[in-house]
Amino acid sequence: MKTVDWEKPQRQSPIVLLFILLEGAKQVWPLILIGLFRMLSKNEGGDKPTDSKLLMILIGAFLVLVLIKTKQIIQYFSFKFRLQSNLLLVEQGIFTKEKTEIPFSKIQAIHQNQTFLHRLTNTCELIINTSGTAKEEVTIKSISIANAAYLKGLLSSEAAIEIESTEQLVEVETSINLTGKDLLKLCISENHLKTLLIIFAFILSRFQDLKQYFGFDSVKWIEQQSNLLQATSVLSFLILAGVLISVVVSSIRVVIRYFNFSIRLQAGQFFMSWGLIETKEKKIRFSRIKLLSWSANYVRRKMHLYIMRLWVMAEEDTQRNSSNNIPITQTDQIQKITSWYQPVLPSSVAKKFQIESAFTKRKLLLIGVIPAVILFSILFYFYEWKALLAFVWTAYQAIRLYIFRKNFSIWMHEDAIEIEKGVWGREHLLLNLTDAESVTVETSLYQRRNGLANLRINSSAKPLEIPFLQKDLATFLADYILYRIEFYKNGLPIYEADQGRQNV
Amino acid sequence: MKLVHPQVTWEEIPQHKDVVLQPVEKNYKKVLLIEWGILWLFVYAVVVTLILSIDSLQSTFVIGLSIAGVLLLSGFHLFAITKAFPQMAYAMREYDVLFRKGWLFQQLHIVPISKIQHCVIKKGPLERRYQLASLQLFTATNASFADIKIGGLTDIQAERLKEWVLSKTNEV
Repeated sequence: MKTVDWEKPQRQSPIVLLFILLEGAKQVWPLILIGLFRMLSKNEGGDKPTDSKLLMILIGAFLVLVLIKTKQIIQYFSFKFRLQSNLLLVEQGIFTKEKTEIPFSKIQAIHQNQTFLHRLTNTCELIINTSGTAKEEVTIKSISIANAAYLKGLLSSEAAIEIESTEQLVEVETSINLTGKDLLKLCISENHLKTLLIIFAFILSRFQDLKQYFGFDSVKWIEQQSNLLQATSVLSFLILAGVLISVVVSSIRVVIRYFNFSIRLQAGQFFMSWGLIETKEKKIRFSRIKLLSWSANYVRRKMHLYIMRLWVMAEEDTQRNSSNNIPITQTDQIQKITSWYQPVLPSSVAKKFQIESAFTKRKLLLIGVIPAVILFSILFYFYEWKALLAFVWTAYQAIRLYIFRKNFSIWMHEDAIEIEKGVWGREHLLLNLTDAESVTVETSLYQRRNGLANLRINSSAKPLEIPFLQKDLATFLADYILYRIEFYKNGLPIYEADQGRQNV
Repeated sequence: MKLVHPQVTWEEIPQHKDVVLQPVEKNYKKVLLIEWGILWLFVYAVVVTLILSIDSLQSTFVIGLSIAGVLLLSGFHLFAITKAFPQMAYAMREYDVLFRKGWLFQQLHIVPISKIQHCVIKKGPLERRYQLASLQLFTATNASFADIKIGGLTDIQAERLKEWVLSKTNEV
């Protein structure tokens, strides 16, 4: 095998160019086909297409292909990577030069993918991930298998990659199982209105398809039918049927998701299993969970039901599906699950503080009053004083914002922050301060004049936004969170570093 | 072994408001203004093309309204750039990097160095013209954009800052 000097800039395998062209061909083949078909059909009665004409079409198609893929082709030639001491360096871009430097120790995962074409060419794709962005940091689209293996070995020698080990199972610490009664309660309290709207949107889109494929004007048909359905009894029957269908559909969704649901906390991991037709299992390491939240809609809150979510580090939005959700049917289960993440809930020991009342006034002006005034001015032209109905929106927003501010509660103790918020339903968020990634203090012109600020605590799961705090409080919270991140290691204070920070 | 757990008072917690922020390079304002010019030239071109090609738009009212609208928006954008530029400033402390930006909505973003996953130096064609670069710092925050993007650094400053951040990252 040829020895590679990894300190010199390396290009991806030229096979990438083939991939780019094939990908392009996949995108433009219908156009080529249409072009050929039209040319052949034009010549049906006359001359047959000559070879030179066919050749011209093929060359033309190839040029179009190259043009479409220019960006990717340029990217191929500008993409270079190399290793320097403990860094992976990637340079790319022609007009805008981009230089990425990744310390080996920050690499979280290295994936090796091989498509059919890769197998044919004895190459593979190498994806290198840190937890820095939701997408991959570095993708080497094609590299020889031998080089990939060597590079993987070198990078993972110091990488922070979690290695799955066959841990000895310890005694089960906590276990929660869902009973038939719990499942029924979950079915009843599901958001049926949302399901009804989804079904309605689905049916409407199918009707549109009918028009597109068969020329059947579904909208006209619905209008005709609705004219026939003036009778109140028929209308109420239809509403009832709609509600029943949505209840059945949402119940089926709940049963499929939570049937036979159980969760165990064992050996530093959550083991979850569920499933009606096929049993699914999932395990999540405690160390990968960076935020906990539990929420309930209005009905569920009254029934003391919550859905708890485990927010896992570097999970893409597409992966953030419901499989990390845990149904909570008894309030004490919240403490059972949260205790491993944060032994003491801030809400149980710390004093509650709330956002400033200026929040309601300011937001009401921006989203309640101004849009209503604009709407009123437009509607007045057509409906005169009936247009005053636009201010119903203002009244609704006033009630909603008042309740939202009243419910927005924050608790913080030396290790964690907890937030409770919601208008009709409730959402709780629990974040260990050391799991915060950065903090942002935001102020608008109005806030600066009135000594107010918003605080955003960014985490690898989702940001915690606290609006309209006293500016002094917001800056103090930001400073304290930074202190906890910077002066603590593995949950213990670094006293040696306690000499204060100096400006550089 | 004797364990110690000294008390920490509020006064001992370092306060970011005491930090002196360093403004970005003055030449960066030129880059922002040229970018503004290019953007609005494009918008003006689109508006003029639309008015010339669509007959129904060729009325005094529409032309007047379009010109007034575009002038107002581009003027406000220019004003915002001028007001926001002096606010762009950054600072490094031993354990974190601070960056302030914005005029109407001002943000002060603080990223602990221990949380930085990787850095990227970016140089656009205009930035290259003025020997400027921007440094992007990424943490594990789940977003496809950088936590901090410090624009308006000189090439040398960007490289030095990057080296410093990376060396600190390796330390912690």
